Amino acid sequence: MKKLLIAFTLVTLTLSACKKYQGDTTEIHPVKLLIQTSYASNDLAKLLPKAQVKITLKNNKNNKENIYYTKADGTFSLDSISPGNYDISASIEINPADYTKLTGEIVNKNIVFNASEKARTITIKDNQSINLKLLSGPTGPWVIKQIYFAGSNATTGALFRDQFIEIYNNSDSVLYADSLYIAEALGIQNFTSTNIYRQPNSQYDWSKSQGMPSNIDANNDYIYARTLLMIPGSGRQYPVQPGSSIILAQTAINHKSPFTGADGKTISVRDPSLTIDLSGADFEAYYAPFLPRPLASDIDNPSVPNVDVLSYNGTDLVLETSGRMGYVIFKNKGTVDVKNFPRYPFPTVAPPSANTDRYYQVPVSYIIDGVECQTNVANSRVPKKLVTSLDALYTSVPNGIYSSQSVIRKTESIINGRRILKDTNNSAEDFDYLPLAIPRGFK
Amino acid sequence: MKNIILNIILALTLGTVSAQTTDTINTSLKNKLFTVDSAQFSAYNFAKSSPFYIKKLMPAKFNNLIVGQNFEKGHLIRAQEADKVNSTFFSTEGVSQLKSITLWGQFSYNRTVEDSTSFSHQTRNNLANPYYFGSVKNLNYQRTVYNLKALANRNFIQNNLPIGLGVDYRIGNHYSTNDPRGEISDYQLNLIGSIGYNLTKEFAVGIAYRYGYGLEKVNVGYKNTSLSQGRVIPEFTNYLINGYGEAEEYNVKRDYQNNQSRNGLDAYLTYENNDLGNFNFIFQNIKDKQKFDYRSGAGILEFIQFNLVSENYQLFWIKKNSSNTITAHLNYTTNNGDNYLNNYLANSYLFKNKALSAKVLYTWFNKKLTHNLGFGLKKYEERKIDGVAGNDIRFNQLNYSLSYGINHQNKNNHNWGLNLTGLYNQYLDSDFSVLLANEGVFTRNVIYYDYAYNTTSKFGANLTGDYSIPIFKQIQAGIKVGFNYWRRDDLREFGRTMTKTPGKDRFSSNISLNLYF
Repeated sequence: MKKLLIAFTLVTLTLSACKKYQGDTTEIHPVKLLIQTSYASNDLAKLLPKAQVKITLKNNKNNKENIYYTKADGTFSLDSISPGNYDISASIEINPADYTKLTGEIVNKNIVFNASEKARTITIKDNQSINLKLLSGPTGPWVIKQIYFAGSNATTGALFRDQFIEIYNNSDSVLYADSLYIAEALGIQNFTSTNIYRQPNSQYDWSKSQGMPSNIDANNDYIYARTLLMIPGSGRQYPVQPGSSIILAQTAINHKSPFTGADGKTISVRDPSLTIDLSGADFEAYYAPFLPRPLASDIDNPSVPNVDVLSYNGTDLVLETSGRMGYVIFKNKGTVDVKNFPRYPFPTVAPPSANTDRYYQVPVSYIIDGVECQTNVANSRVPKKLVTSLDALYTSVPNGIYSSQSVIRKTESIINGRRILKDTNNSAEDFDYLPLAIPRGFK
Repeated sequence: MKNIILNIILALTLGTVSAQTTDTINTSLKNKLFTVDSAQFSAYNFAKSSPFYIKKLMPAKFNNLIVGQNFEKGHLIRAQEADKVNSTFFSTEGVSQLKSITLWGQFSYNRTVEDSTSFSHQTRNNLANPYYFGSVKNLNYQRTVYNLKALANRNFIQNNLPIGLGVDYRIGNHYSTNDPRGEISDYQLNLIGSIGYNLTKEFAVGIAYRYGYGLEKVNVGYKNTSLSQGRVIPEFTNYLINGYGEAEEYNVKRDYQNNQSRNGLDAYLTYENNDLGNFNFIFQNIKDKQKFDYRSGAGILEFIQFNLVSENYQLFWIKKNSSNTITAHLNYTTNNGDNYLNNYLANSYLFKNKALSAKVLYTWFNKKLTHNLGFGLKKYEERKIDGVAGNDIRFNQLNYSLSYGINHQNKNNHNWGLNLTGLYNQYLDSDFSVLLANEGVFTRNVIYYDYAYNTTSKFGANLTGDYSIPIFKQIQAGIKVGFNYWRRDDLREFGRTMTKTPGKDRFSSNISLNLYF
């Protein structure tokens, strides 16, 4: 009997010892992270303040954003941050008086320095660090004010036909839109392709493109244009008043009303409230003349001038409806005709064929303004296309594809009735959204 | 394998049914009075845990059928529970002897309408589960659950070698009727085989092996597709909860499958003595493995694994005398869960709870009156640790219950009964560590809310009354009505801003038709 009881006890104890995981702590735990900021320019680094640089950490899992400020040495230590995927940005805005006092350079508006790392993975290892190099980008007289890439409901709205881009005169002088270029910045649309050369951030490594000179920084000093359009004009043909804008429509018609497509069939929307009237647009993209099979909805409004098309994608100015594209505007300031800018193919591992597509290489130094857009779905976002000096992070519409929503630049101030739009070269800060795109609207 | 299982289910169910046809009026009254005897009835319920005990602790014959309606209302609930619950239930069970085989079987059906529940696209049967969808939006959930259980025991070798078999099959369907619409289908099949040996007339030992498997298929969709991205009306956003930290917005591929398998061992020891009573000890260890994956034409993408190890120690003592019965039931249960995240190749979540309870029931008979006195004490501790979020939350409670019930039998075999129970849930202590940097909708709506709920003391009462009469000569039929009320103390301050707080009270009532035959 005693033996049996001992055996019973032993069985019980053995069974109770059969747990898989023991202990009161998890293998993963929040980690320590050191964020170090510094100015990209060594000369400015000696003069400008490192304290109070605004650090924004956005957790891409839950979109929770936390803001911190650096200490005097430009660093900030986080004792516990959850492992995960983050968009990290650093920003400091110096007022004109301070900037002039510190550097001796006379400026008349705030100077903003930005730095960022998109989709940075904080691993489960402790004591990680991130270095962010602060850059000041161009804050030109023109800004991209509104981008309506999402389109409207595919069944009851106008699909992508009602897309447009709005460009705004953010200065206090009359500007001329003549020969203003609008480009879509090309970039990789996934994280997984293996047949192409990539940078550490997963973006194309353009330095490996066939024919690329080795003495230039192909990835940081240039963007590569998929679509490249130019506002026509004689030079002073299209004046834009301070606080006014121009609208470039895919098709400059009233999308709320039925119209006859290029194929003779009527195109209409079931719910006009989902779409917009673009008959008052300033310019439109009309691709039909050079396409063998043009898009039925790409009709020409004779009262709206067409833009010059240097390079195009698809059968009309169809913007990526989920948003994953960069948009830039620039003017030619060199002696080389933009049409003669060098063009390069994708940096494929296998040598490209002779008739492969090649894309215009546009110097970042020419670019007046750039806006990076992304999808609202965190795990569908793609590597950044624009360098930090153009746009530190990105903007998106919350309701995503075919939602009728547009991204719109925020109003920073109103002086004598003229709206000055926010331009810190960080679209995550500068942009908001409209529930229904409004041509020439404000936020 | 499936055929064998079906044969077992059929044999056991038919056995139960055949037993029902042979009952008499005496049996029906006896069965009614058996349920009135709280002490003996608790022994019956204890025996349902394994076929090893059904010969020892169940009566030779017992059959009943219950149809009822349950209604709950009030905001004193956990964050993921429903404000209002309306359920219809049907259950029939019975014990019978088929030659030398003792059979116990139960079939139950439960249809529940929950209005409203948030952050909870899950069944109510797998609450340690750390991986599920949810939304801020309150949902109306409808759940239908069928459950078939059967146990059989036969003694071999001159009644010295009891061998038992058991099956527990549950199938459920759960869906919400408003966006974001969750649909969960699940089934679970659990089998047990036991063997024992009577060492002496007083001592018996036994062992059992348990095996089970199951599946939960979860899908969340939107009828109004414009809400599917959920950001303009944020409460419609679908979240993935993966542990006990801030949830992830999850608006694509909103479906997964949870494949479960489990096995375990039981060990039993019984001692029967006319003077000292009947002692029954159970040790039970079950390891449950759950694998959560996404299946498509492209293959299977495994997200996480979750292991849950349950241990249970029970000692049940019953002493019957000519005019009274007394039972004491000690129970110690632990559940330890840990996950494994495939994208980190590491563990990030721990779930732990332990409950130690003691319950004493004393039933005495005085002519036509049966008195029941009960006292229960239960210490419950729960801890959830989420490594990714940096959350570590623990609470400790002590639950008291004190009850008195009386049943009177008339000359014409009419019975009436009343039972009153006083309840108190005392908060003991807790730990709260939640990273403020991760505070979002789930943290505020669920983690803070539940911490507030679990760290406040509550008191309540339960009153039941029933009246039964013999009908059709073979059946004792009764109507039972119950009321339950809980109210909480003031909430404890823990330094966080709450978006909503647990309500003051909760009321529930039920009415059922009970047939004994």
